[in-house]
Amino acid sequence: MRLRWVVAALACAGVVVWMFTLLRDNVEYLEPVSEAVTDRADGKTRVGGSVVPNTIVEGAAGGVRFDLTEGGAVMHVQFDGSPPDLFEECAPVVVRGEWDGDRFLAEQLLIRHGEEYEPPSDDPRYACDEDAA
Amino acid sequence: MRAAIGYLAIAIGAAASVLGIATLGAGLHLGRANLLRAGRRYVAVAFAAAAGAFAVMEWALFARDFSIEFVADNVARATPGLYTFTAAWSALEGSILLWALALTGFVTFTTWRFRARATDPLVVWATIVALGVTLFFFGLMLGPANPFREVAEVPLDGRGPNPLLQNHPLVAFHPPMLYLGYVGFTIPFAFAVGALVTGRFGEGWLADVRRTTLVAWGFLTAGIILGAWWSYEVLGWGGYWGWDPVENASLLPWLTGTAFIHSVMVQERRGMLRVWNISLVLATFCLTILGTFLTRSGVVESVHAFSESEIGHWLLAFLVVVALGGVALVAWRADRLRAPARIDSPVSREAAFLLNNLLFAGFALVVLTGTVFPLLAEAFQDRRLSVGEPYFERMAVPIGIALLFFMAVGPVLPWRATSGEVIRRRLLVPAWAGALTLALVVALGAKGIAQVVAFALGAFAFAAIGRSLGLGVRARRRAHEESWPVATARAARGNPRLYGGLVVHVGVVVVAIALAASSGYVTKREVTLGLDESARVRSYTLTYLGTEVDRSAQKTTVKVLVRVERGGDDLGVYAPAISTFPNSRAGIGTPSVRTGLREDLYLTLVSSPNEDGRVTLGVQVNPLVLWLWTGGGIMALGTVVALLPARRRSAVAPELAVAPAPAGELVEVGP
Repeated sequence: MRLRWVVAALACAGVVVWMFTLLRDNVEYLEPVSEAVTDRADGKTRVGGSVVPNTIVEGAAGGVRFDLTEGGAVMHVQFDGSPPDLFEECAPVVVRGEWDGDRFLAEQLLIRHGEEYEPPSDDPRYACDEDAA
Repeated sequence: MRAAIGYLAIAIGAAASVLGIATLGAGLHLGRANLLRAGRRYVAVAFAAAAGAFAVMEWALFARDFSIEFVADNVARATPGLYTFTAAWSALEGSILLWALALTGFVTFTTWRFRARATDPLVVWATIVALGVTLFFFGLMLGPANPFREVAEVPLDGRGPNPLLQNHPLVAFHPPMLYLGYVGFTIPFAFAVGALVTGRFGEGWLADVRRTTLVAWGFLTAGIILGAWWSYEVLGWGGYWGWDPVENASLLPWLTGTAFIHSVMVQERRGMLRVWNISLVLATFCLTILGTFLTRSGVVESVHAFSESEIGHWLLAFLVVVALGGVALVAWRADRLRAPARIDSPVSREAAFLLNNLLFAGFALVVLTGTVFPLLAEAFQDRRLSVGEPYFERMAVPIGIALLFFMAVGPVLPWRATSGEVIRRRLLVPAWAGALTLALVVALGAKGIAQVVAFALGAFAFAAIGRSLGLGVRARRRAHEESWPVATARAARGNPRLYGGLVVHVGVVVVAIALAASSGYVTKREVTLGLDESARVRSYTLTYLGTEVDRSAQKTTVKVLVRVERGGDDLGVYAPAISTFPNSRAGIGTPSVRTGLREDLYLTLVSSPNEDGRVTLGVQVNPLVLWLWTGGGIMALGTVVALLPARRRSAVAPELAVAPAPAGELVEVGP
């Protein structure tokens, strides 16, 4: 009887350990550009910022490169898919992907919007000066 | 004007709740039956008040009364009628109002059902608890979530509903279904507390709440499936489930609720698992509150910068009170909750139920951890993170497969103990069905261990369920010389709970197979086409025919016309679209889906024509998705069957009755 309980307890402990290992391996941090460039997290990350004007370069074979900025920091992003309709200069975006050297390879590119469904241009963290650059 | 009437109705509802609690409490304390009878009437008053407030809200929405903030935020002059109606629950305050309406409706119906037991302390306590919950929601609307808050400056036009909530008619069904499911679990919770307080935690309270629990479970199931369908048909990302916190919030009470529906039978039959059942009910109710907190307080998805509302603190406080109160009550009664019986054999119906319950509880724990972890990390570490889908999938697949196995085996096992011979006889045909299916799908080149196992177990479960269904019907046919349909209907009417349960299980198997196939064998492409150009994806040929633009006051829709052909057959023109709404910058994609028995062709518009007139289409071929919705429908149907009143002359609960001798084997397929 006691042996059965020990086995059951060990099994439960094993499952819990497995669960937390999986959890740890699948956590994706969400950071603004200014934190992302200093952290350089390993694994999948989501980074939020706005598209720097005059940096969007469309690749010949599809895909797009651009710079993302927030809080004074800038990072280079490469996205291989076709960007959504609202992707444009100063658009507030969230990219999901991994660092590859100096570049951020994005698998997913989302336009960030608030619940009110208005451009969040009033959010100072993501302010973008269209006349800049 | 309307704001004042609406607010007054809410105040009346709150007052009725307080008076009801006070009267019932005084009646119990003084032992006065007339007070107990009078107290119940306040429940109906609260329901009338909630219905009145909801009616005023609809009136204000249709009258475009922009002096009310909620109306100004959620309808525009151009909003069509359907979406004006559904706007009532397209934001926080209105959702709480709908919640209060559903809750008071459930409570009123319950007090009506138990009108003959109006002075029974268990029922009185349950009513007091339910009124307490009602009071909380009315209180929210009096304070932080007032749906009738007025604006200082009345705008000329309103903002209109969130674009996602005015793009598909399913919005009229999915949220109310979910709310009815969520709210319904308040009744078993109230009775569980009543049972704890009165010390009557035998099997009586379980019988009292059995039907309500099933109703709530049925609505929650339908709500979740409809939510997946909505996600698939409206959101246009090609999937139906993304382990999003909001989705998880609806899954959590479903998991514990499902566990409860099963473990109840063990207590009814053997008097075991009393603490466990009460804990499951408490947990389910807590999880519905947690779900509301997650979806409505703005704590999740901070990436979207949702405005954090004050209501979060209230819901969290309420959750803590309920959880601590529940644990304290159970601890207080712990010594008297001990079960009189034990599990005799690991190969018995009750052991299968126990394992099924542990799996459901474990599943809930896994989902809860993954859902709440980001909140804890943000609260304690100030880091924003999310838990990726692989975590949920890697955990959910083995648990789901184990559940499928026990679902097939459980109903076949007899109670208490059994011999190897009995099991061999009963599982012989299902085992062959599973093995042959396994050989067949492997021979056909099916990929993925999880998929192959799911198909084989699905066949195993189908055969086991089919055998159970067939036995009863055949016995009836033999005993009464009835035709197949008549025998089936009569057998089901004789024991609706058993047959309803088996039908639900059929639905679960269908859903499981559809999940396995549609998650494992998706073809996903993106194609960029110029005018009249074609592309081939799997067996389909897609030709871009042109673009149409529809403009209305509500929205502007860009449709891309695509001719779909397969093997020389013209399958018609499909038109994936992107709509833009005046209140939003983001375009809302509307996929165009060719639904088929074997597979869906799923087209989305990734980007509308560029300078060269080329469009980019997302193309997916999703196998068996139709069966996901079909399985959900079968589950709902089974729930309805299980709710039918049993046609029995005896007062004994049908599942406890022993079947007549000629149908001897029927005993095995008890609940």
